[in-house]
Amino acid sequence: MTGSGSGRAAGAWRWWLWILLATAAAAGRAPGEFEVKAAFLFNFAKFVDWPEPSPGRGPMVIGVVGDDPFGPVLPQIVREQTVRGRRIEIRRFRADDDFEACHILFLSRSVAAEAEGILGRLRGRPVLTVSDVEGFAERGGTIGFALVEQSVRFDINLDAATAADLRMSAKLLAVARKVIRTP
Amino acid sequence: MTLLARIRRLPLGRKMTLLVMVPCVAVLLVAGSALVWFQLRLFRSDFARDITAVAEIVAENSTAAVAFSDAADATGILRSLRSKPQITTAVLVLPDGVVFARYGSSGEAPVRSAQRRFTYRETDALLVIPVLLEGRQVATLNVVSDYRTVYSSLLQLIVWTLVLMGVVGAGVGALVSHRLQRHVSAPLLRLAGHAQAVADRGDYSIRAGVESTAELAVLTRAFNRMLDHIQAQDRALSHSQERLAALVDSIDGIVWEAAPEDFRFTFLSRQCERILGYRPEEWLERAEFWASLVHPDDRERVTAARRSHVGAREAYTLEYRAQAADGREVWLREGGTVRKEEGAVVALRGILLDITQEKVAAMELERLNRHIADASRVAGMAEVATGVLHNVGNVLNSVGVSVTLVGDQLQGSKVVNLPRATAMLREHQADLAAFLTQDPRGRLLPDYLATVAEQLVAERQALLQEMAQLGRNVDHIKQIVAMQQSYATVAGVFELLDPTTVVEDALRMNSAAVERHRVEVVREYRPPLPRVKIDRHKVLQILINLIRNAKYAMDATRVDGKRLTVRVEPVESDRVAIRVQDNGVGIPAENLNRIFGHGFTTKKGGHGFGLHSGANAARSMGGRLYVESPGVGLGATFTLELPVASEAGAPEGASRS
Repeated sequence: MTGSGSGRAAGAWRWWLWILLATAAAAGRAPGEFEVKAAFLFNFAKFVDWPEPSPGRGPMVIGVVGDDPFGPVLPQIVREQTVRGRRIEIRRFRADDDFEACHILFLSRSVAAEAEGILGRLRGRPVLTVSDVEGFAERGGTIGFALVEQSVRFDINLDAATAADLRMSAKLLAVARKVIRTP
Repeated sequence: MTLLARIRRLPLGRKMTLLVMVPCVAVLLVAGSALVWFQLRLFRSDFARDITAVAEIVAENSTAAVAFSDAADATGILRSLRSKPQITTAVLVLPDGVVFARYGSSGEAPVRSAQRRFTYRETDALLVIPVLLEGRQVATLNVVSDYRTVYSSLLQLIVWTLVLMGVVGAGVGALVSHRLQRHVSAPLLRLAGHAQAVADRGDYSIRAGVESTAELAVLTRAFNRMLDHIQAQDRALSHSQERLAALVDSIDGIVWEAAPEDFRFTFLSRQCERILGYRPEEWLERAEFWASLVHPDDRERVTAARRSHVGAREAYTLEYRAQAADGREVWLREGGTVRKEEGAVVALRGILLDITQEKVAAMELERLNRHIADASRVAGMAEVATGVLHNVGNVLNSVGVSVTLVGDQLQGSKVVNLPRATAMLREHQADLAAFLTQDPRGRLLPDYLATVAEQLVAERQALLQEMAQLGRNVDHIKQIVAMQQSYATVAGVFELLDPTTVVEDALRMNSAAVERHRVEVVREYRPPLPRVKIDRHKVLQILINLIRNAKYAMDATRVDGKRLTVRVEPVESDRVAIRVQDNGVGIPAENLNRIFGHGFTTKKGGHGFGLHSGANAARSMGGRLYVESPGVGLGATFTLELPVASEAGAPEGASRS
């Protein structure tokens, strides 16, 4: 439904957007790309259902493979936060680490070359793979970030999600830029 | 009040309609009001729930858009609210106050709140609802909705419904009341119509048709039964009226009724035609008819008397003369009563009796009475005269005796021998001395003369005595005659007298007879004796009669010890009693009442008039005459009571009898 509707509503939307941008500029501090991505990463946990009981009742683990682009932002965001009653734990991995216990795995651009291999290792495992590597979703990743007109958006590969036995919320799908699925 | 009065005056049908309509409409109004109130409440809660439900969906759906900062998606989600035209504005505002997405146009500042609330405002309603993601508020959704359009359409619907209900209710009410009237009030009205017809025409033979409803049937039957009663009573009434009229007309007098104010006659019975020769109709026609009938000499008196009786509201009786149609003079006795209703005189009623016969008889009787009175007076006088003559006769007896005695004495007088002595003396005139001394006859002569002289003296003495007796007797006769004359002249005149003088006179007049029959007379006069005002003649007659009766009563029984007691004593300060008591035969109890009756007598040759006329005379003087007797053989006491003379002089008791 994005971008559809009457011209007047679209006009108003644009107008509001301009005000939003102006307000953000006036604040002098637009949220950084990775701050937004970190927040998104955390928010994904709220719109995805993992199969029971695979990760048990322990904390929800968000793993970062390769160079961590978030720095202190991600721990700040998830600190003291719970998702469905579970704490959030941030773990950092190298490309050859065992990260099968993760719920969400972020592949940084530094492991773009090993992405194929990592995805292959995780095939059939209930791990939500996220990356800002270009065309990540098309290449078998579950969610791939993309920058559209300075704002962070994402594509979802629903086939990959289904293969990983993850259920994506329709609301999440609704806000995705693109949902990839084999017809 | 006026409303209630007006309702009370409404005809039954209208009342019935009111009775049905008013509760119908009232119930409808109450129910309608309750419905409106309930509907409005329901509407408000429904409206709030409706809007809240939609807003919740929107808030829920917009979580992802907020989470992933997708304002376009959020705006799209908000735009889905178009399906609810009453929602005018929806704004998603972030916790930092930034408006994230907006639908509709409103300059209103959005509200941030963790509390959900729905507020009705003047023209719209504001819903504030937090947008939660995993228990954390990520934004606030403000939804402004215009409830008035829906509200007014709802109101319109309710109003139309109410109007429809009202119309239907009124229609149903009218129908019900119409049906009810057919079953309830219409029969009543029919019954009322029958009653009206009965009242108007006085036709009690009308009957109402029996109704099917139980109460109405009862009412109708009762009505008909009442009519039966009335009809029967009406018939009985007219019967009794006829009978009464027949009776009234058969009364030997004119039954009448008149108005109390002008005494105009309003009813006269048929008898007036027979008695006076006028038909009631001609009498009733003219107010002054009655006055023209009445004898002119009586008219004024009767009119005045009648007015005063009516004024005093008392029954009355008047007698007067009236002229009949044929010119006869008719004596009428008018008895009248005053009929009062609640204190006011409404009518006069009474009867006019023809008393001409009675009047004629009364006049005849009066004439006879006068005649009898005269006769009795003559008889009384005769009685007195008899007494007088009796007394005179008695005295004359003595006179006769004296005369005989004188005659005998004179006859046997020695004086006849004197001429022989004187002849002898004249013969011997010459030799008188020798004769007187020698002659044997001459010698006896002086002694003889002396004897004769003595005898003559004695004779003279006797004759003188006899003469004196004679003179006394003649005086007595004179006295008696004088007394008789004195009574004869004062008859009918009242005098103030000492009662004992009359008693003494009466005794004196009877003294000869009393003495002859050897009756002892005892006088008991008990002073103080006031004077009485009486007709001396009448009292004397009564007393003579009583004394004679007493003497007669004693003659019949005894020879000795006859005692007549005459007692005069005052009674109760205003009367004096003269009691004549004898010890004769007495009077049997059964005769005590009859003894004063006219024609009652026990004497041979008595006419039974004495006591009767005596009692009458006593009454006429304001006194009375009565008798007491302990029984046969025990004597009797006759008492004549006479009123004491008052200082004013008139016979006080004359008016009381």
